[in-house]
Amino acid sequence: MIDVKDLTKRYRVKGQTVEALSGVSVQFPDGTYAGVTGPSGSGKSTLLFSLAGLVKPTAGAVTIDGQSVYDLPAGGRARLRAERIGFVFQMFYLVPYLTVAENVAVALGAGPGGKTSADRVGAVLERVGLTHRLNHKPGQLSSGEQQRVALARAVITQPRMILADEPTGNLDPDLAAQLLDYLDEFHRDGLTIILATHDQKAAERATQRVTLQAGRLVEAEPDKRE
Amino acid sequence: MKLTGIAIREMVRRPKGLILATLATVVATAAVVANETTFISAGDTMRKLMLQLGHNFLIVPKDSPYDRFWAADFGDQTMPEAYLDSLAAHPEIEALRYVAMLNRRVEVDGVRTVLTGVRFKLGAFGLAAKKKPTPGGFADFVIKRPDHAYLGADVARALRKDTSDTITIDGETFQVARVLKPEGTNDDLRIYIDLGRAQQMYHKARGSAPPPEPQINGLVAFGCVCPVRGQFTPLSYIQNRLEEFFEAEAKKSGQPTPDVIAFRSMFEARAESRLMTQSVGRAVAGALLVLCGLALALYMYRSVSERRYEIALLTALGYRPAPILVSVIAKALLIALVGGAGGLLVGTWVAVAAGPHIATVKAIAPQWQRLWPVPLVLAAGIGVAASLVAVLVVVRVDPADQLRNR
Repeated sequence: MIDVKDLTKRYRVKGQTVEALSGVSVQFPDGTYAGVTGPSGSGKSTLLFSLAGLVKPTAGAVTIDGQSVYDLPAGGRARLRAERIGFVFQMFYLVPYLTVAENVAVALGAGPGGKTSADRVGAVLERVGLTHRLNHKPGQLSSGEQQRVALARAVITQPRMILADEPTGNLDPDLAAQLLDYLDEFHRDGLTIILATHDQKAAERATQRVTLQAGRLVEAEPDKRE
Repeated sequence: MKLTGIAIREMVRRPKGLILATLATVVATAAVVANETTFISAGDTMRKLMLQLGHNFLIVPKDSPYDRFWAADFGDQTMPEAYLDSLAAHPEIEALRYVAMLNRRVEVDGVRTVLTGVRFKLGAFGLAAKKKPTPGGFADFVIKRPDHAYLGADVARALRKDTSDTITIDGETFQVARVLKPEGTNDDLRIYIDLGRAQQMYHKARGSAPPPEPQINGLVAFGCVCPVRGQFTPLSYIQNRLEEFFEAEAKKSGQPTPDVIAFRSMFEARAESRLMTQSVGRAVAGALLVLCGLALALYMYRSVSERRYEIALLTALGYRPAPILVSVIAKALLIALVGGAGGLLVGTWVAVAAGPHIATVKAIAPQWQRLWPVPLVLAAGIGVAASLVAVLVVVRVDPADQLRNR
């Protein structure tokens, strides 16, 4: 269970204070598929990064399974991300000079022991249909393939949740649908998915809807599974 | 895949920057190694030369106004000529040659000059080294006959005298046996004659009876060493030995202990010039080290500033900040140490090839054993310093800012 309570994040930009999140409280039960929607600048990404311990809130708390994320030291938050959280970004953020297999294996390096398992890499790439691209560089892949590599990188550590920040933003509708199918599949396997998106069709796949506007929570539907 | 693997792949990906940064380190550390190798080796050569040359000492009667003799003459102080032979027989100190002198200011045909009676003695060290007297130079001539006079270059010019001419000093006639080459020193104003003859003239001029023991007022020992020490003898060591020796001699003769003055040798002049060249070399090498540090810092800065999102990604994937920072520093260190090792090789090669021309010695020997830590420690320092800018960039990377949608 992820419990977000009165989360507020203010930034100072050019001498002015911008409130990216303003007293947001929401709960994400284990195994939920949450669609976080809202216009640009509504605070969707800030909420996702806050959940992962990457944006220290100005006020409020994020609790995962009873553990306050920001009470953990930096190393503890890093371990939390390495073991329990997978990220997917709109821009894929693959390392251009590493092969597909190496890009996926990078996520394993942060985990305990940091051991790379070729079998695990092979298996997860097989699952996203990229076995034939194992030794290709990201520049040799289509955008859809690149995002599937990013998805494979997110799930190889067998996390409890995937935080996806506009993962379909750079994909055409067919590729976007394909990626969402993969997310559905991982959700069916029991992963918690929190998807920040503009795309209403993508959001409709979620079992829980959260809508932000100007940093404020304007709608929070409960998980439909409940 | 570990951070090390990522760092190596990233370096290989940008070979141009990597090669330039490494080359900068090679050049800078090579400059240091070349400079130090040249001057350590040249120093060794000079010390070997010193074993042959030794130090020069002037022994004068106590409180002689020797440093201002042109104005104050030499005073009345004298010491026994026998000091020459007893010094030459010293069991520990050896020298190339000794010259006993009796100096007196005289006027010849209106020209004020110094009449110097000299007796030359080849030292045991000089005999062993087969150093024979050579024409020219203060210590290198023997007055063969009592009626011979050797004229310093300036005196000869002032008196308009040349070889075979005669001159009259205090009513006594001498034949000019040689006109000495100009030395550029006060010695050019001297007239040299046989010591025995000078002693007679000295007492005649003063109207005093010659003492039972012949006297001198200067004794020069050229190229003193103490070979029992088996290595380069420090000047202070020989000076102490000489002072002890003359203290004992003075007690025997009942005269005051003479002053032992060390005077500048060719070795010291060369050593000074060598140190000056070495300092210039060090300054140049230091400047190159700074430039190398800047080049490496620039490379490191570019390599992390262009990879901010990668650093943010690694943070998002759960890499702890410390290993990321360590990987940045380790990368700079690796480049610097490879450059330092290269610098050791290149610098030694440069020193061996070009050093002899710079330090004016016959050959430069590699100094691996003495110098190997120098380029490595310098390179490591440069590596760490150069990585600081990159570390600051990494520390300031905000993963959320880098990774949010654009």
